[in-house]
Amino acid sequence: MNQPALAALLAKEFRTQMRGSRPAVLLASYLALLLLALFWLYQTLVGQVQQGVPLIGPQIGQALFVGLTLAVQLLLVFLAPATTLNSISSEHERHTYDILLATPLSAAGMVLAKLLVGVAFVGLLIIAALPLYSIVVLFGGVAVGDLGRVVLTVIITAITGCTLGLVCSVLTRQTYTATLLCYTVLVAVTAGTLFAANIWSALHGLASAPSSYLVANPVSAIASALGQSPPPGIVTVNALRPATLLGLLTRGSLNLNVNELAPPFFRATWLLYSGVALSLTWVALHTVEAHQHRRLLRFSRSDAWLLGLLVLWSTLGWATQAWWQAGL
Amino acid sequence: MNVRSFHIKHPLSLWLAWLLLLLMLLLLPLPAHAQDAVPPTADPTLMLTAAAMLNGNYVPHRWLAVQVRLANTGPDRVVQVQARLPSDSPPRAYTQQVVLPQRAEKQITLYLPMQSLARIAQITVVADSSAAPVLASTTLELFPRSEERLLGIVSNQPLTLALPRRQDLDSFPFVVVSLAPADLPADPRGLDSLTILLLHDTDTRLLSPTQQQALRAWVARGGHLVLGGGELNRATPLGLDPVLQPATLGAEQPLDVRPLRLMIPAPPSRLVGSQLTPLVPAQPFGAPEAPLFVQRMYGAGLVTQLAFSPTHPTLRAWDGAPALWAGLLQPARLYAGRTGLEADADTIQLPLIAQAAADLPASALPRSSPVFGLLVAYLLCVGPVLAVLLRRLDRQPLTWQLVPALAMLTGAGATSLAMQLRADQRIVSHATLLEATSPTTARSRTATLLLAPQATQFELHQSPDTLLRPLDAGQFGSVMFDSVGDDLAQQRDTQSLTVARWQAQGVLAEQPSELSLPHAAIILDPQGVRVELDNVSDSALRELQINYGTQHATLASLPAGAQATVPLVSSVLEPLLPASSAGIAALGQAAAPPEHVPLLPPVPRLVAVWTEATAPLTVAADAAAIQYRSLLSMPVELRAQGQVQVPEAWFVPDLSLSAGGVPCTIGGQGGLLPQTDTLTLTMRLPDALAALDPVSLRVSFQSSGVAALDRARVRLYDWQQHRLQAEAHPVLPPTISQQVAAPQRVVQHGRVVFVFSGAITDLGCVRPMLALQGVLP
Repeated sequence: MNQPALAALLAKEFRTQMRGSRPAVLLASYLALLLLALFWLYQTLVGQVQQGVPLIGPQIGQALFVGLTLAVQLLLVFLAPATTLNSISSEHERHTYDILLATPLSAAGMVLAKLLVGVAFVGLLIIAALPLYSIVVLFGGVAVGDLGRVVLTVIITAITGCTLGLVCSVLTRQTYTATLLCYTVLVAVTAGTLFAANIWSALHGLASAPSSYLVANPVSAIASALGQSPPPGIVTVNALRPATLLGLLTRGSLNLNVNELAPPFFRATWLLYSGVALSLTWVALHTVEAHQHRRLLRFSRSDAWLLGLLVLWSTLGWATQAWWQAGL
Repeated sequence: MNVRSFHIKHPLSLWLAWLLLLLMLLLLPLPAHAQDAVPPTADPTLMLTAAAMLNGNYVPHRWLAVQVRLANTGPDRVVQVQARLPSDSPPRAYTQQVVLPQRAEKQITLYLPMQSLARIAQITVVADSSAAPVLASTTLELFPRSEERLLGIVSNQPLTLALPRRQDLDSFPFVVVSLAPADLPADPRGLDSLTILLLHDTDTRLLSPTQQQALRAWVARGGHLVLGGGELNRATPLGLDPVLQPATLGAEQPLDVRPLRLMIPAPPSRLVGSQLTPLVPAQPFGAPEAPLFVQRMYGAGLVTQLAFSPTHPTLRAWDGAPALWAGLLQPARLYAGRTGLEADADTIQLPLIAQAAADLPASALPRSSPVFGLLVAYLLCVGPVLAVLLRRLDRQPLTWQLVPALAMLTGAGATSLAMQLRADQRIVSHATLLEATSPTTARSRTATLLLAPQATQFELHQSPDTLLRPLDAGQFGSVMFDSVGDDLAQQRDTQSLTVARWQAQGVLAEQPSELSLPHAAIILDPQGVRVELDNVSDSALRELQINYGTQHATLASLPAGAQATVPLVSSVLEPLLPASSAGIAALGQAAAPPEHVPLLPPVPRLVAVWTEATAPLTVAADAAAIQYRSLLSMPVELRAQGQVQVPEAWFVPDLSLSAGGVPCTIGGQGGLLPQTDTLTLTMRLPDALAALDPVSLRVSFQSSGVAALDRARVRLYDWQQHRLQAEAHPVLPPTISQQVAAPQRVVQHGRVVFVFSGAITDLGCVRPMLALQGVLP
């Protein structure tokens, strides 16, 4: 890989990513939506307390934590692919794609640079949202480990979303078509799997749906990561119970016992998404290289690298199967 | 062989035999009064003697007083006396600190809440320091008495009653405990296990004021005090509080024993006793001019003044004496408690008080506006402000550095601000039931539950006369609670309690409280029935309910110093309003526990939320969310005067003078279900109407059975002739009432006796409905 060329492309991409008002508007809108959601949730909980429901601080803190994290995940699931959707297709549309391929920059370098910039922007969004969690600190009920677990889930989901957007952009070569393809897949994965789990639950006497139905769902994955913190031993009956919503997202039904933890299939989701991200990156790289060298079946150095990474991923998955299968 | 030769041949074996016999006599164990058994490591300069009250007999879940005497022949020292019940789980000690100067002798009383069925108690004395060696210890033998009648006899002379044998009683056999007058405790908790207390040949003027108060409080809580009559007992009632005196004793005279036929088949031939003059309100039994006994309800309890002496020669020789004592020496109340039938409602009330405390308050909410304000400022900075600024400077790529920097800075600032504003998440919940034992004192029982986000030690402040006992584990709604595992100190003003992380744990505290209680009276006069209230206390009252049988009156609030008059209405027609909170509802249930069988008329009772914060414990946790809930329960005086129409609901079955049926309920009121072909059903009025002079009486009958009414007959008991009237009336439906001729013959001391015969088992639950008019002085 030609490192000076890569560095130059990265610098250019980082500069152009922040050009114009679009990134600022996106950032501000994203933070404003999160802050509004947080404020609305807080007012709802305070309203319950004022009506005499004896909520304790950690219950409020946990409810805010769950609500804020779900909002972050929901937004990023749809924002992350948007950062890379037009990365290759815009080059095709501006007819600069072939010029780029003619430069000393390798195909792998170009794809990785595009991916890196997209991931960096999503990372910026995640970091920008972190101060909002100080509200949770005000009430307690959430440990540092809980925050770490959900942030890791969000990051893995965001990276996978970026690679999905990149692949759609590479395969379709048109931003419009890439957008359609990407969001169709997202809706199928997000809403379709949840719907299937609900149907299964309804057909089986509202029993909990198998976790395999939901392991690919990013919202269910974050709900599973959130549902690992038991509420305090004192739980009131008529209070706002995020566990009910988490139950719907992780089991397809509403009958989660408030003291019962959600099935930890987020571990399987981590493994699945990391494998999917590697695979999609490989597809994107190979497609661009094939176009560059005009040979589809050429096995390049980047193919070897990614194959090696996939083998490593498989080995890791096999070695830790007891850990991630516990949630299934 | 002659003795002399034996003595010469075997001198050593004879001496050895005598020595062995002497040793055996010296080592005989003494029941429940252990000598100071000195363990090998004990301090010989400290002598310990311990004795359990009531000879170690106790009713489970009641207090048992243990008197501990310490004699110090060594240097000045401070020691801690510890009492342990090996059956307690988790194990804990009840402790009291004692200061023992040199050559001092002190006696203390430790109170043990007998939560478990213990047969021994270990009393230990340790030095009051962190490394506490055992200075002395002893073991007491205890005797749990579930479903047994503990009869305490206080008499200057030994007294033996011809009581029924255990096997002759279906339930509640007698266990007799003798007490000297000086041994009467000064704390009503020392009498906790006693069902009945008989005072005979005891000059109560010699009792101390605290002993008098303890007696009064014990009766108010449900005890049955029986006072002997006759010449020997002239001084017995004289020193008692007037509320515990049902009658005055006059000259000795022959007593008319014929009314005893209502209690036992064959009365004695002759009985001599004092002439009793009933004091109002009281209910005599027997001939008006010479009642056999007079009873008076006080609080939940009962006082019975006998006309005759328990040592009367007739009672010793008479075969019917056991049946008479079985009928007279009954518990005042019976409840279906945790260990079976119990004479008081503690095992029903204590879990409800704990549940009331488990209705937790919301924890204090922190001020969130500064944090939200900071986040809004952050949003504005990182959004439009930064964008405009960088665009003007043409440095938009700096967004990559500045946004994370701003986020880190704001995150650190907001987090530290949140940590500072974070509220105290500890919760302290007190629920108190105040039960009046006199117009100025109440028995206060408080459940205190503590909750903390991490394992925490709470410091509690209490008055020295507060006793702490463990809380039984339970659940209220979704809140599970349990007792603390700490040792519980007595006669101390501080106590440390340790609670686990997010576990609601606590204790129950009991204390006599001095309070100025409101005045309440149910008035029955020619104008009708009403409740008059005068809140002379210092606390406003809310959610007032006055309950009397199936009638009630309600008032939303009554400020301190205010008065009010409210009507008494039927609970069937006008249901009670629900309580304002689940905790108050639980306390309300504790204030009015259901009786298993109503042996006495119901007590008119006022129940109200006491708004002044009352709890014998103060927790040092100012910033915590602290909740006080108090409910007052006090008896209401019943007064009647003039020409009155007695409310039908005020008649209740008198089970002590009824036979041939079992209690039942019809139309929300008490009746009897016939079990044989003859049913004796006595209906009685409350004490305040015992002196009613009947003018008019109409009777009808309510029954739940399809009833071959025309095959059933009823006769009334003629009190003047001491026999059933010859005329038998038909048992007619409730729509048809019959006028009773000469009601003054069938109504005496507020009692009317019906005898049903014929095919009455088809009647089902039957209750006479009486429309009685009369005149009260």
